[in-house]
Amino acid sequence: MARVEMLKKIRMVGLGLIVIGVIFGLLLFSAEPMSNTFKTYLYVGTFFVEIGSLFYFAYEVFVPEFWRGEWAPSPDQPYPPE
Amino acid sequence: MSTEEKKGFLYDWEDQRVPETATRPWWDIAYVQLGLFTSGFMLMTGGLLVGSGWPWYHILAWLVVGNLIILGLYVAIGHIGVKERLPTAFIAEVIFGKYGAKVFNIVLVGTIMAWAALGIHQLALAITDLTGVSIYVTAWIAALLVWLSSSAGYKTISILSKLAIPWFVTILFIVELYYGFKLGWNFWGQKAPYGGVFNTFWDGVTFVVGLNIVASFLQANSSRYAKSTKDFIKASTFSVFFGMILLTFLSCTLAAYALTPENSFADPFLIATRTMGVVGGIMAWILIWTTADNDFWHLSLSMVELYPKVRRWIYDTILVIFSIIVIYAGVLYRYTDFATTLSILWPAIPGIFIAHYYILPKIGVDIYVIKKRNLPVNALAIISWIVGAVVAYFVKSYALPLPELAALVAALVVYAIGMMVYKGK
Repeated sequence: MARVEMLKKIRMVGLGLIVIGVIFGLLLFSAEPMSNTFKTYLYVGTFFVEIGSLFYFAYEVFVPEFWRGEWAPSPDQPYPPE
Repeated sequence: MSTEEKKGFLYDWEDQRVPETATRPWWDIAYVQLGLFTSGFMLMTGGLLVGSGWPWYHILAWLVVGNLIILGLYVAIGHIGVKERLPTAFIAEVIFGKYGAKVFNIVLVGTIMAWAALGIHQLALAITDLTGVSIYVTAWIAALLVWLSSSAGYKTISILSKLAIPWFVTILFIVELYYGFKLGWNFWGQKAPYGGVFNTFWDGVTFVVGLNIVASFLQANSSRYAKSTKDFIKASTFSVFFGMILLTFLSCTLAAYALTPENSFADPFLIATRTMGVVGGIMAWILIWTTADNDFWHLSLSMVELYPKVRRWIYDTILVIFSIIVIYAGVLYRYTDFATTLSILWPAIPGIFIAHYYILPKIGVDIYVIKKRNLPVNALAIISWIVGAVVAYFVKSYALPLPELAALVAALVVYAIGMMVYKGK
């Protein structure tokens, strides 16, 4: 699979994880403040949003050219050259 | 040193214009801005506002009015950064002259260094609170974290922001709404010991404007990475409305739930842990961290202007280590002194920047006149700065509303008139 396609897939997975995290966040409304259920929803929601953010927003960390200072996501070139 | 030699991960376009290929999407810049605004102080502000005895609609009005003023300033200064593609430290050379800019940057490093060290100290205290490890150890851990995210300038600051901000705008936002509904939204209007004292409506607006006006003249540091002014307006509007209005307004719910009349101080760490447990504690760390790394980034850019032969990341490393010494000197306990000094010294600067870039062309003065006439110091800019600071001091001393804006307008008027006279010489 081409690298850009792979990055696009990583980002889509990230977006999915953020959505799952937000759903866990919304489940908070069914729990009492600071109860074990509340903490579980909060911690799991946080975990999914964080991993999802890494994949969806901070995807440049998976690109070697970024660490070499040769490329960073820009409006004109959101993905590195193949 | 050629551009090619300077390129590399740690290079932050600190002494050259950011090229078109290195610009970032608008949401990336919005996250960096939100990292700067959404600090531990946001949670504290929730306590100050909700315990002030004022109803919710007044508090919301303070946040909207105050932040619209701030947004206007951010866009005005940000546009200068987009146009010049240089950091504030170097734009200062256009206004203050080559040596005048050094005065500007020395004062900036001298005053904001204490503020930046305060950020590391707060982060160290938050880590100590959660782990019980001695502050003498956590100070180094905090310094290492801040160094990691500021070492490559925009690149690393952006990574931390992109990990932290989505968490704030989703989970923190939901938690704030959650506590609002749990409390039935009827907690405003109570006077509590941890609340702020706002005698009039304009005292509230003054407080909100004072929160972030100092950051306005530093906006060029991130806006130089924006592809266009339109992108920067989108970024600023999103970050100001979501971070400084919505999240800050709703942080009142967390404070109202967490604090009791026995709490005389709206401790952000206490608010976070009482409403979110360990995750709240970690959130408080990250809120502080994303602000502190921005401070060191801005400082290191000024150091490059002072002596450009040393790379920015090396200055960043030295400043972070130096902050440990400042922390051991007990900086946190001088918090109010620093906040007052900053709010007197800096509000004049956006006024001078705005006058230089927006008013001078209207009165027929070339904005690069100082450079073209080879003037080492633009005395008019320095005088306007002093006038602005004096105005801020007296307006504050007499407890009149909006001292920062008064200083800004005074500096703007003095500078514009001075330059108009100078034009004819």
